[in-house]
Amino acid sequence: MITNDIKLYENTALREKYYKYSHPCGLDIYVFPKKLSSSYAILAAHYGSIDNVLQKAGNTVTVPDGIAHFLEHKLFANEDGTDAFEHFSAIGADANAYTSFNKTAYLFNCTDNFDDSLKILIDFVTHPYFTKESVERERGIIAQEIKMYDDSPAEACYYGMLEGLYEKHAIRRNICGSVESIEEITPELLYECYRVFYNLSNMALIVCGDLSPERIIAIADEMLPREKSEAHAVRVRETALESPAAFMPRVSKKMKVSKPIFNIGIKDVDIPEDPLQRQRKDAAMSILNEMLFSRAGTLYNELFESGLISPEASYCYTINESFAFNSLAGESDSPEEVLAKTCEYLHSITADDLSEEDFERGKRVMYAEFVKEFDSTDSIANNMLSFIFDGADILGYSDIISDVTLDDVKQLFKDSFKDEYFTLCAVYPLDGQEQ
Amino acid sequence: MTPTKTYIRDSVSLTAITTDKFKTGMISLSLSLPLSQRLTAYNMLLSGVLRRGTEKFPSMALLNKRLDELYASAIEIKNARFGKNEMLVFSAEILDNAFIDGSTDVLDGTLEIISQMLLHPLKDADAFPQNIFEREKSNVTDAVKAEINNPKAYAANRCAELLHKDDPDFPTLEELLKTISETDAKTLYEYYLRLLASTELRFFYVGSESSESVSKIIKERFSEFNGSLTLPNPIKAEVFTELKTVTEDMPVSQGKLSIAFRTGVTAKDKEYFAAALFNEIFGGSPSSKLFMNVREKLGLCYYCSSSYDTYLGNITVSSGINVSDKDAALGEILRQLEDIKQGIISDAELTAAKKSIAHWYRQIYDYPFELFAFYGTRSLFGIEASPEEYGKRFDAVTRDEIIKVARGVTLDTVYFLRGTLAKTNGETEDCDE
Repeated sequence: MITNDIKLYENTALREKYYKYSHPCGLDIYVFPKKLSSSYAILAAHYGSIDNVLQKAGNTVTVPDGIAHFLEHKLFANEDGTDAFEHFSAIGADANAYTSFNKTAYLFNCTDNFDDSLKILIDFVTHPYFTKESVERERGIIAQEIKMYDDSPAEACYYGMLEGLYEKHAIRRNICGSVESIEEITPELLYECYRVFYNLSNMALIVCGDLSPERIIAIADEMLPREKSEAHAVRVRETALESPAAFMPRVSKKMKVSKPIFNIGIKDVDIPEDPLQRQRKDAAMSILNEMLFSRAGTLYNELFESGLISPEASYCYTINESFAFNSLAGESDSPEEVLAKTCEYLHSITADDLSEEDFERGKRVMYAEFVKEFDSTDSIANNMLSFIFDGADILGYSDIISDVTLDDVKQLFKDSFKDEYFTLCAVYPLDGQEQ
Repeated sequence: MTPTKTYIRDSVSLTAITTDKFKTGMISLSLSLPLSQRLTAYNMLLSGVLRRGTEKFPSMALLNKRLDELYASAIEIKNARFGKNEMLVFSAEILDNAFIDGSTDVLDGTLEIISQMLLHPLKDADAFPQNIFEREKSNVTDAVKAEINNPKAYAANRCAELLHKDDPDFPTLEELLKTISETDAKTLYEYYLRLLASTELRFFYVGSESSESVSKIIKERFSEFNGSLTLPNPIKAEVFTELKTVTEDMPVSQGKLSIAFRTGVTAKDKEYFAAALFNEIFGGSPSSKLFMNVREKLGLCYYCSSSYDTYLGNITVSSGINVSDKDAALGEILRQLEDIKQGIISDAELTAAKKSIAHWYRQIYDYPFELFAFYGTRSLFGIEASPEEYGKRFDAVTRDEIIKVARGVTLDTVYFLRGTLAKTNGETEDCDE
């Protein structure tokens, strides 16, 4: 039975649909029916590492870097001394969680006992319990996680690029924080962040599997309050403060690497406020990237044939309500030369050189990559989450791709690659390191 | 979801699973040879050279353009080891016809490219083109050396080297680099001809097409292939000879512990199911003893987990820790093993391990590449069972059988990568930026 409260979203060409229901407690619930062996659920807060400023009694308070991630770790602990992982594994569900720049997601995947697993998920995420002792122990575990990432040249290079692009935006700081910043985290601060950002109106529940909306709503009714809480998230973000130019044109580090690795960042502060326009820009830029940087393209093949880059070079455009940038990553004996050749190539062509044929090819690749995401409950649920927190409808994206015109792409080409937008972060081998 | 196996010719077979469950299916082609000292280096070089262009698509750009036209059907060429065998695997995702315009045949187009890559690569008279070969030699050398960019993988590989140090068929990093540097375009081309003559082609397909129609395409596209049947090296457990302990310094902040054990049990043995459950209870999941104790109780690490090489019978534990905690972590890991040997396995641990493994086998049906991984390797060694049947065999295993396997587990190798950026009290200094 589909009531008026349940809204249906459908894409007939893709043969997919999902339901959205806004629970009286404020939580938006999304049910994506999919007949597969495994089911997947995510309960997520629209709260990530960049949300480190709180509004408190009219004042803004900055909390320690890495607190969203710390909270993610600690939420698994229950008041009775058990751990949510134990409850999941007792019924065969595989649980996990992750924190990104703008979201914290708690999830499980199971092939049996879905209802009970969902109850465990809702229960532990809605019942925080932090003690001094458990926070202390977690500090040691997270310090090891931070050190693990500190030792990763690829991570260092990616963050170095973000440090180069942004002057103030919190994205330039590590999602996990630092060994020093997590020292300042206390149970009280964790409770405070939880109260602000984990109110149900700032969260979403997404389930994907052989499931019906009625079944999920019944569980939500059993587990969740009937009314909205008074608290609500006030996001204080710093996009407006950023200038269009990259903060620093170069960032370089030295670590144990066999040869230099690099990330070229291209800053983009032209972020449409309207989610649909943002999606359009995302699709158009991704098509443009295919035309300019793909393995079928001139630039990649020139860099590759001349031995300047390793085969695994990659490119990616990222955009959401708070930040946008392009990044090109790879390994090279001379990252400076890769940057020079890339800029030279971008200067050497004009918008009119962008061909209809390459445009159609780029579109086809984007379409294929999109369709491929609909084969497993985990990729569907995780992708849906990104779309939902960006205010968009995942099933509308194939039309957005097909509506992009060559003129859109040409305009983006003209606007997006000014020299001052670029930063290059390279991680070089340590002095005296044998190569 | 039951696979059908068809012999298209003596040396060409297809295993197909016909299903409309997926928008993106897969096709793969595997060529397998018994492992030998120089094989890995040759396969690595070959997988680089074969993707550089073919008679019909004579440059990498043209090849990649064609793949884009086939709806981003990226063809990967990878080397994979199974016990003492190595496979060269070509694989691609295939977008189903229902979701593309009618004029493109992705499956046939992809098989055409795979056949071009394998049977008609760019070549000179009796060698691969010098410029392509040299470029790939340098790429492969870089890729092998880049192992140090990932300290966790580096430690695991050094541990594996120590584990196989008495077996000349497993090349060390140094030997691998030496073989790569000694190989020339002609030697590689000769290896390529030898490979084609001495292996069979095994195709694996998951998608909406019938086995017959996929067979028909393969028959046409690979009509020139004339290989022969080669028996794989049988599955055999490696045995313990002596305890190996190595510590190496690296300028990183965290220490990486990589410890290997011999179980003496492989996927061919009747104790296999108990051994896999042992691994699950020991360090295979977030409810395992290693996670609950080394991480949750003692707070020594972020990760501490074990993995089981079912073809060689080895279990490897890896963990990232403060350098000063090495003895504490090693001690705790061995204590947890000792506990299992003493019979300390709770009902909750046993149930969780069985449910976790059952879940693992059930979810295989959702992923074309997991189906390939399951059927593609097990069938080589005569293990014929569906994931579902296989998963059920763990149910009957008793606690005593697991304890018995645990008692046969021997510590073989302790490798420690000592981070020299760490101070002795465990505090780290900042990286040089």
